Amino acid sequence: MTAPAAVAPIDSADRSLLSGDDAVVVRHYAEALVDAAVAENQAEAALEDLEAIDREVLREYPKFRQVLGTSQVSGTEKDRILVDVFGDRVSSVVLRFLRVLNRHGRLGLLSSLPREARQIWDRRHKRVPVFVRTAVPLDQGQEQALRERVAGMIAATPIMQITTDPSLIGGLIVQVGDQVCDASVQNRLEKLRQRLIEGKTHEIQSRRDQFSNPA
Amino acid sequence: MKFRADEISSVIQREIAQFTPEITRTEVGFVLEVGDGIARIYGLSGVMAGEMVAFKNGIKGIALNLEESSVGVIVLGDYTQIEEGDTVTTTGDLLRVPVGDALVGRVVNPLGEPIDEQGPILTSLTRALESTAPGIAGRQPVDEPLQTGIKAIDTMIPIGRGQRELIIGDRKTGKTAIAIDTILNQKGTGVICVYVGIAQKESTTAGLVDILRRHGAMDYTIVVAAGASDPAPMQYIAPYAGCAMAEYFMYEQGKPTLCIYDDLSKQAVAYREVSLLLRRPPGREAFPGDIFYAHSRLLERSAKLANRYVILPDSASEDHITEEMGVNKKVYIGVPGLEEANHELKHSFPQGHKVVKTTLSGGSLTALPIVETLEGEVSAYIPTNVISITDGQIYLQPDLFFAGVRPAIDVGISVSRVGGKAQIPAMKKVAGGLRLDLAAFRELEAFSQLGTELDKATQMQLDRGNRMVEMLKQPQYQPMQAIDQVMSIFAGSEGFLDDLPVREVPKFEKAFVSFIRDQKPEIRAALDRQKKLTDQIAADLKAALSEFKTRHYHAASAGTAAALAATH
Repeated sequence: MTAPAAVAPIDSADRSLLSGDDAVVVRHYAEALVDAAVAENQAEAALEDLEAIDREVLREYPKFRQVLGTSQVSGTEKDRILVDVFGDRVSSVVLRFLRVLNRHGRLGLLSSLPREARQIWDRRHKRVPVFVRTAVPLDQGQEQALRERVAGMIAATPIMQITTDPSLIGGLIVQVGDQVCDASVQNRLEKLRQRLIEGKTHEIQSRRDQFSNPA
Repeated sequence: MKFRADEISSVIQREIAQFTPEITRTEVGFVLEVGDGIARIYGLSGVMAGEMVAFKNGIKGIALNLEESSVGVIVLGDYTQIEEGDTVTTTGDLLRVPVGDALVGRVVNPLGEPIDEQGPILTSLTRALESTAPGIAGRQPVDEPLQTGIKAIDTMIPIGRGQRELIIGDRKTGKTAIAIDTILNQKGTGVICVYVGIAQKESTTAGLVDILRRHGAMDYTIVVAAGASDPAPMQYIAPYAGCAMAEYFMYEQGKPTLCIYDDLSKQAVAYREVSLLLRRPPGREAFPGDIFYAHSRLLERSAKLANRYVILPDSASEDHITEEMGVNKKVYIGVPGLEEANHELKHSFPQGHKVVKTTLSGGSLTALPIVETLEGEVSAYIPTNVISITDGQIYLQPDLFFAGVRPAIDVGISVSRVGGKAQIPAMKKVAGGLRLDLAAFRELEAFSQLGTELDKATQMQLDRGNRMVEMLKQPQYQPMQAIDQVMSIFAGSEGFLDDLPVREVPKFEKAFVSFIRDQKPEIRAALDRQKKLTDQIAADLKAALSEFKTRHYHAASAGTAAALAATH
């Protein structure tokens, strides 16, 4: 059996944290950040800042990331760097968060935090990421219809991420969490192929047996 | 016969026309890491413990560890084909293996796929790899013998159908040999045998299959092999797979079956490997905490299923009895059921009725697990576990093996806890004193080595013991029928061997068995029919023994003398 192809393969940066106890630690920090930001009414801004740090700094300057992650650079030194680099560029709650992270020696987890914080934030607002892959680009009407349909199915607000993939031939694949609904032509052809093979193997073999031992 | 292209295409067309596609809903995850037969999966949030999962390229796995952020899966197949990031889907099913008559005579891997290059196995029947053992009501006491064909076992450590008898001993003491002889002896008895080779050398398994084939034993045997080079998960599931294949015959066809797990210490090692890789906490000897359960749930699946009876009119044939055929639509289960049925037969039914067992009931699964010890250390973890689960054990001793006593069974410490009830009465009678005699002999033997002067009675006892030990020796691949065993032991215990030189004993025994078979078939037939050593049969046997001795031995020596005279 061939499994339906992945809709949203996770990238290596995300995978690195998923094993071990780090995932738990990341979740606790992310929750703390969201709570703190909500208390100051800065949640959206804080999340965007965090994502920007990951996207524009950590990924662009891997060496900077190494500096933050290593224990060869002292905590006080890192604190100075953080204030220098991010001091007036990010909201105050995020800066404080970064300094707390540093004080606890957890800056190495920084790259996994935006995703986790975003997930927590989305969950609180009943927003669910939905990955859709279609054979041809959808027009506005279709997209709206799909959105409404999916919203009805999951009883939450879908955050749609739509990509096109001509190899599906037709139809679409929708993934919500771990659940994948495959309604692509590619999948149907594969199913039909399996069925033809399974249905006919027995017949072919019994015919073959008749051949070899005619009654 | 010719294939017509348009015919085939029309068949395919029809198939396509009938095909109604459905949207498939699956649950997916991604491989985080893979290696050593283990994969760690992210996602699969709805997977169940023990559920079968499928990797992208069709390889299957079992979800063993459900953790907070990942799922630990054992990979059943070539894990080198799985890559990081591959998708994994749940199947909503437990792992199943193919079962049925098509497997008999085949060599398969633990997934039931053929590895003997004799074409695909045509069966649509499957059974879950793990299934629960029958409960108390579903069983009945062991009451039929499972003849191993080995004198030392059938007389003193008898095994019944449905029993679990451990074969334990150091390496190279003949553990597998006992198992093979037992399989060979099931020829013509209707017992389906399953040999599970776990982490055995491929050459050993190939040799074993060859022996079975040459003796015609593959006609009723399935060989399940997880070789030493197969990944640990395959070695771990092999005994469960073999058990499931045997269970089919026990449950669905009411047949007696025999399962040999060769050997469980290797399976335990494979399971330890898997568990440690899955980071389950190690316990004693680094085995995981549930290693006892791994073995107990396997061996508990051995059973003698309760017979089910119905009441039928006398005229009914006994060929294929189903539960619906009973005249009062009632099914009587097990030993109490039989009593009840007989009671009702006497009181509520007029003459002309009988109680008959249904054809598909009363199957059995006898297990012969094998455990290897290191330097005779039976107090190690796995041996003590398996000893406590089984209904007895056969100890093989290297000292005996090298002293030429083969099979090297130490009858002093080997026991069978339930098999005695299953022995045929004749065997019970001749074997009764044998164990005690041999125990007394061993004691005297140690004493006699001091070189003291022995009185005549003691010397007699020693001589008898020496000849009995000699008689219990048996060459490999020559299982002996129970009736022949009874007659041989009878000859020994009645003192007919006492005046023979010890090394003559095997020759005498062989010649005597064939003498009875050829010239006194009526004694053999009577014993076979009655299964009892009646006074009449015992007297006949004694007479035959004297006749054989005078005729054979005296004639032989006279013949030699005549031949010697002629040459001069």
